[in-house]
Amino acid sequence: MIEIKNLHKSFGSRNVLNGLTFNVRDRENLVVIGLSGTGKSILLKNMVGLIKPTSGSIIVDGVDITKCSLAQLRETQKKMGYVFQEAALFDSLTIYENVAFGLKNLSSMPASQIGKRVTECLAMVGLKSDIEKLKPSSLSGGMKKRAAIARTIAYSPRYIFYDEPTTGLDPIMSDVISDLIIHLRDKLQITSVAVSHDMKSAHKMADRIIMLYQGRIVFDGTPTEAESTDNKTVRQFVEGSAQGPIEAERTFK
Amino acid sequence: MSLDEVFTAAQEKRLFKHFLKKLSENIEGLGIASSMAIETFGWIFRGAISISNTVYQMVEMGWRSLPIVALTSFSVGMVIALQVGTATTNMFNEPIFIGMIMGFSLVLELGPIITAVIVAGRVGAAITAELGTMKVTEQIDALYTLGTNPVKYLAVPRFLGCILMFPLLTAIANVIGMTGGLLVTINSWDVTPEQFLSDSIDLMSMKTFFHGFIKAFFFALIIAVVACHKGLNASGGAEGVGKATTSSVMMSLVLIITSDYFLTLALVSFGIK
Repeated sequence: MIEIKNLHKSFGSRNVLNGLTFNVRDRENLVVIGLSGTGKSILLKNMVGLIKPTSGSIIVDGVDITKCSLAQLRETQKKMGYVFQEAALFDSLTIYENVAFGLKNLSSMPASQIGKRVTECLAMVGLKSDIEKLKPSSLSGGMKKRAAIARTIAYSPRYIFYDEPTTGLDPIMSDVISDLIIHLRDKLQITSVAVSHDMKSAHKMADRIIMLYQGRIVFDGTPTEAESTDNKTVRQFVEGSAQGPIEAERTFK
Repeated sequence: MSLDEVFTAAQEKRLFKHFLKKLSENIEGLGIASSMAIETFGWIFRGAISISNTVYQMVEMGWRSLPIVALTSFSVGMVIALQVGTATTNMFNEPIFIGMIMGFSLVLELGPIITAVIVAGRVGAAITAELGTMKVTEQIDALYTLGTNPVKYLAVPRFLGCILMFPLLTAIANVIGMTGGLLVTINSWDVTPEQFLSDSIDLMSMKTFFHGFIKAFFFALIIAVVACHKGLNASGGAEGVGKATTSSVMMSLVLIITSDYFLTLALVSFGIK
């Protein structure tokens, strides 16, 4: 389980996260929604240890990663995987080398079994082994995202963090990625935290949704509750309306 | 319009604040770059070196820089020979000191400097652009999440590639520069190759060569530190990578040219000359 307690993050005088407190339960798909620039990705990067919070605690399986030693942090990070918004596959490496990268560094798998595991993980995300020798630049956006998920699941993390998993994909590919995230939870018992703007995908893949607004949690509930809530801020976001309490920037007349 | 009108008190204050801000940014940058260099040497001394990555970088930096280093040093060698030969013929009615002047100027100064300018432009820019692109596309963050230290994985092979290949390129630049000078000298004046070469080498000692190679090592260090630091700290998308690359080349060149005097002063005072 991951426990977030009173998490604050500031950049200079700008407070991005203002005291967030919530838990991520085991084997649930938690989706964090919110406006662009509201700190969703910052929250995710704090949770995985890429950014240090200004104050507060992030407790992963009993280890507070904001206060633990570097060795403990490295050990805890082995349980976590991160799928980046633009996939962040290493340009200079082939897809095979990308997927094998985490296996070599984070697992004790013998070299002789790495090839088999890479093919298995690519198959798990619906990619054929004939792309193994290609460089990331040869793949489409959807294939890159799936290859990035294969790279992450290869070393069997307990938690996977997805930064905008469906952004930039066509509706069908978005649905495929949503199905894949659900499939990984069911098949591999992976706990997922995803940040997204895409309400259709969020509704499909989430067991629970939290909404961030102005650095605070304004909603925590199931997708069905998000659809029927009386909270006008949440309703406006879920419905994607320009009218409502969330002030949209309008420079046109 | 008088100068007083242009620089009002408020503008002067703003200019001073801007200067202080830039100064503090540069000092902070120097601190970050130094700590990265120390971390890199820490990994190297602990033996955390990927042989395949290092060899790849050595080929990229050394072998692929060779044609342009060769062409430039050959051309510079020819020009120096022509200038010295013409000047000494005008002054003394015969071309004297060509080999000696060429030997000293190439080994002590021009060899390391020519190589530094080319490597800063070719290799330094490539390192910053590559690492900068990795930074803005979150590949550096991806390395962290996959249990890999970016300094160990990216900076160590590039440092080693630069430090190992730079002195070699400098030596090649010296030899090719001398060859260019030799060809011009023996074709323009009545000087034999043996005479030219003995003039070049007679007054040199091992210390002369050390002088050039020590400079080459420091210049390589400057290029590697600046390029990796600028790349790993790039931000702001494609524009940020472009700015980081320009800044990397400019800073390397400025540091190389300004440090050259102080390095020469130090080496001469230690008797390495």
